[in-house]
Amino acid sequence: MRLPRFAFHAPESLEQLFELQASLGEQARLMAGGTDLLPGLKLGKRSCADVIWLGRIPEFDRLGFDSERGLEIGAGALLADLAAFDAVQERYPMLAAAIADLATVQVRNKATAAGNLCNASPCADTAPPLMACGARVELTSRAGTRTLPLQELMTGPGSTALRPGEVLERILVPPPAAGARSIYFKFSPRSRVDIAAVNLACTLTLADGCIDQVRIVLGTVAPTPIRAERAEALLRSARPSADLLDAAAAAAAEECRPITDFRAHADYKRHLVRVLTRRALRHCTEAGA
Amino acid sequence: MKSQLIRFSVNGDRRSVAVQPHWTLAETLREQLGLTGTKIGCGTGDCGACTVLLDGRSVNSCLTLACEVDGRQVTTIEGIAPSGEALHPLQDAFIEHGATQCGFCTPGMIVSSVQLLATDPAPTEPEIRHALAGNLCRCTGYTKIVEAVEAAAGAQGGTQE
Repeated sequence: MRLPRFAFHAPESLEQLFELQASLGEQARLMAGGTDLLPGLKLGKRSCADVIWLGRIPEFDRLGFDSERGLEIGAGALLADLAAFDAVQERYPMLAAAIADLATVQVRNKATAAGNLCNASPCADTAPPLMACGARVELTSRAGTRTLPLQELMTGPGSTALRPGEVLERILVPPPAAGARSIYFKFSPRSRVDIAAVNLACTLTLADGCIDQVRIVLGTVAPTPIRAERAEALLRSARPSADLLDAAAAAAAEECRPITDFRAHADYKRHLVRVLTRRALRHCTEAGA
Repeated sequence: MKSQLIRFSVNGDRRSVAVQPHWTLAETLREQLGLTGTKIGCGTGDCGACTVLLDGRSVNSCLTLACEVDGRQVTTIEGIAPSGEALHPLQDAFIEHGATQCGFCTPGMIVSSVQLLATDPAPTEPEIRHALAGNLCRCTGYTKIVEAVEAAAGAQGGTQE
């Protein structure tokens, strides 16, 4: 299977990138790892006359952690490096777990979190944990930088809030709240490599025996990853009990909007959301979890 | 489209190749450099037959543009053995354990296993299976492949615990 013809550009600075974007226009595609773009081009799902590769822009080559500002993920940081980063292993284990089950070693050695998010698949594996952690994204253009909450980046399958001439420069993840408990679940018909039928991230804190902060993010069951807001509202300030967790799980199942595809029937995905939400809440509220 | 001249290291040799922007590394290795040990299976990053090391890390060469490797180091299955005389312990182990049937997945399996043992010299069986999840054997000879990797890890001084 051959790629269609295109011109290749490898800017070596943000300034060169913005010049190229201005001269080539909106049809030019940005490529980070290429693990989504190149199969899409080969299979004829996408087309473009110009590919702009981001791999030689030193500004993107950042991965750092600061206990006040949190985690900084540059657009060029590889998923393999992100999952192996000490601060991610220690403070964001849910993100490390999501990456460990994303595609294959070979893909994780090329793909980036920024590319995973900008590809805007409803089943993007890094989106639920990053959204649950309260991540923001920095979108940079010649005009400057604007920051969006991650859930506002993805606007539908394959579409983002990126404007012409903008690039996702960094993902910023605040430090986890003290005592936060979290977990990530991915369900797919196959155990490895496969894209999720449902993925879910949950994080919460307890205060005086009641649920304080809580975020539940559901992937693959709506046009973009979504917060289970009604379930979260039921849980906030409430004392965990089996009935409460059941009610929250039922609310999450009700508010998601899955479609039937070859991975699973919509009814089954809804059922999975209920089961996985309850399981995640039980994990995060049980003593010593 | 205009061809571009790329310079990169392949198995320790410096090479210069004029490539088209839409050529993949896999096509360039096989068709321009005659290194046909790297196989092309699915072409979409699922089967791992095209796995090579790029700057020491395993990647799908079917999902890597030739232009991306300009100035970098590539190791293919032809460069895994330490010399023309001796095989790599993984290659010996694959032969010893009959871990090849049709042989099409073998180069990718071995390159992925080299990457695994470089990062984890003593992997458990589930870790081996997880690490090789991006390499499909169409003969489904996985048991012997996993046994060969376990044996090579043991021969290199790794243990299972």
